[in-house]
Amino acid sequence: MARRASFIKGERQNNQNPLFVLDAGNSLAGTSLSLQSKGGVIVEAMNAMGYDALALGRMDLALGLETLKEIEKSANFILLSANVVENDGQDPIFTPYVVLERQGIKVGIIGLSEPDANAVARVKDQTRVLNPLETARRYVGALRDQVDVLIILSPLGLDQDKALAENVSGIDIIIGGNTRKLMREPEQVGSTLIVQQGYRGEWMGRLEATFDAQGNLVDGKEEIITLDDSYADDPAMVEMVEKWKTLYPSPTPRPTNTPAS
Amino acid sequence: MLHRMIRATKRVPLCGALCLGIVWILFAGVALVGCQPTAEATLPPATAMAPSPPAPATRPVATPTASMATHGTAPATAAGEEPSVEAEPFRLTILHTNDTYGEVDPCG
Repeated sequence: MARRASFIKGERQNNQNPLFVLDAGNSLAGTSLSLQSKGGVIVEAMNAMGYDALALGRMDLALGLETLKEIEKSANFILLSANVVENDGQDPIFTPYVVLERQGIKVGIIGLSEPDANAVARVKDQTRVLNPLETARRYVGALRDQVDVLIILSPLGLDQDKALAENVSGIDIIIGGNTRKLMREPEQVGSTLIVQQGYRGEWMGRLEATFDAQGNLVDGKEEIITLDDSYADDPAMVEMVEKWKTLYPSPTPRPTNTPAS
Repeated sequence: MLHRMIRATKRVPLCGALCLGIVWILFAGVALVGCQPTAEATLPPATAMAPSPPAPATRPVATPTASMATHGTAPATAAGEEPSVEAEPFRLTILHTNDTYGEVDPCG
């Protein structure tokens, strides 16, 4: 986390392009510290790093609606899900999309959740998850003409992301997750680029996307940022994490899985 | 005055006409000298000069930190609003993570 903060800080200082920092979901909770703090440590860290938006995945929803609604108040980034709706209605419980404008460029970001995102008992009775593909089609159709760039944050997995790109026209970029892949190059399906990078925050993706004068995506260069010790710890982030560890001193278990390549 | 002088040349003899001619030449010379700018004359002040042409119109560029967010609720029907980008290529950078599982250290 502290290395990621350093990297992002450096990008903000040196990168002249409009810059967006996004998360494709399943990031608010998982470790003991994140669960005990009800996502608090992660929200404070993501605030400090200047994240813009996060899609709500299954593990995020495991925090429960009440906690997530509290997080919405303290987060400086947008919690997105277009297809998690009230159990007895059609209205999204969370913000379905956001339009961010930087340097005159309007970027629409739609968040999706996995079809089984509400499997955890804490939210199962309160929510339904609409079909992600149909939901994406609906929102892309509504947003496409209002923005220059359209991004989907998708914790659906790579196969579902490809299906999304094949079946919903108008998506420029899918920031994916769930399949834990390290993608050295973006996967291109039609005119859509799909990227994702590993898991556990050991890597970060850096996508540089170029659009022509007509707004068509013409090039995408993906870089895997391996957050090893070549990146210094950001001191403020170290201090912040230590503060939370003092509040919740139990050890943090770590998964041992390795990412698919 | 010219009419009067012509009329006078008709009435006076030749020597008188010569005298009148000399007076006319002298009068005209004084009048011409009076049209020359004096030594104290100054150029118009610089501010009176035509202003520089306006700079060519350029697309306004916000500061790197400037950001405007619009949160969505339900999908509206596609509005006819034009995308903000004029006919210029552009590039953006997206830093992204996924599945970080609330991890805080040691990696990432």
